[in-house]
Amino acid sequence: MIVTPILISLKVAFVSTLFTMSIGVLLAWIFTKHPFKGKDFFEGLIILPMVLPPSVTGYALLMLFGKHGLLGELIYKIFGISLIFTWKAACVASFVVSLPLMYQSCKAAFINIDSSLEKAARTLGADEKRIFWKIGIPMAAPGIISGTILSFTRALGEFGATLMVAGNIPGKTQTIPIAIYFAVDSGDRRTANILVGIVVIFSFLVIYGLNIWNRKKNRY
Amino acid sequence: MLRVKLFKEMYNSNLDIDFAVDKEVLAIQGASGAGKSTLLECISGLQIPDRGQISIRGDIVYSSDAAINTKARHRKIGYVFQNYALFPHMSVKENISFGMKCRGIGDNEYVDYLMKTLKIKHLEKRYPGQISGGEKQRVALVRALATKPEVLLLDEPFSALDQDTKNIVYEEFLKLKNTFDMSIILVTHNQYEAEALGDRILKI
Repeated sequence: MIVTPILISLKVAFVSTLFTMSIGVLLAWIFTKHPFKGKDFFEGLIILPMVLPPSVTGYALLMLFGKHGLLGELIYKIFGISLIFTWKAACVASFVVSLPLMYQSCKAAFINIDSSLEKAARTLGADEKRIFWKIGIPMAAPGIISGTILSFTRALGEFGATLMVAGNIPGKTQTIPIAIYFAVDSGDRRTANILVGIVVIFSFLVIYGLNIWNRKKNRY
Repeated sequence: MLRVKLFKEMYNSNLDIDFAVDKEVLAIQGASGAGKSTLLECISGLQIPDRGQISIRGDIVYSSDAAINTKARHRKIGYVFQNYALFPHMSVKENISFGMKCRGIGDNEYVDYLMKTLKIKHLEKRYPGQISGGEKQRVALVRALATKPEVLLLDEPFSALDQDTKNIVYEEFLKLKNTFDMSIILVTHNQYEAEALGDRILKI
């Protein structure tokens, strides 16, 4: 079934993007507006998956979330479940590889906010929470939306790390990129062509739409 | 009364100042880099002085000896920034009501009075990007006054205006300054502006 990998990919991309968006925005805000000792180290960890080969990221996640991994063992003890080779592991892989995109996009957006706006808000009586919601988020909205869309498409196309931690279980963890790889490997050109067509058209439309929107977004 | 005695080390020079303002306009004049904006940011709580004491109506808001540093949001200070710092994603009305919401002030009659006095009532639905420099300056002033501050800080509020607009705004300012029962500090690098608008001039 061609539809199943599409549905799994959408589910994985949607769930991972929810986490990427909320955690990415929060981390970018804290790191840009409230610098702390060791910030560069933690920022490096967030960005690292962007420059690492996906197989390395996947292997690291396998070590971390495997049954005997640091987090995997903890999760198994508390919840009695193992993430590895489930669609949830694909979400974790997608989250880790798309977080740098979200973080960078939000960071650039937050840095570009004129600091006098935050100062003005403070003198008008706003606390940090209000500044975040009423000034930070609306002013950085274009960057947050761009980051979210890029993270979603990145999650949708994630292959290497996902294959390492979620494997290739048709109907369970087989996402579009994995289905394409194994279709080509087994000589099923028809399935590969359809899925490649879907991914290329979808990704192109997203980038095209984002470019048009970016051109029109300068409201202020 | 605002009482300021502070020292702050800066890149090129040190800011070492001691003065009081009581329901008057104190014009602080100095060259670029003299520390005028730093001084206002220290008074408002946006920057921390190295040492000294700042009190508003007898309440100490900063004291290096007593380790007191009241946050900017709790100091009843109105601040008009050099670039006005209007929130570009909010309408004029939303800009003005922002501080009132933060401080839980619901005096709409007062805001209406301010907007009518400063002739910006007709702009309330517009966004900062849709109004002129002079109008922005008035909106910033109304936004600062709407929170009923005890001290008003004006950081070169007229520097971005053309000469014709400046002359109009100077006249309005002179009319207004007696209306509001508060201490005003006007920071400027312009000698004429300091002499024309200040009750007293302090050079730094």
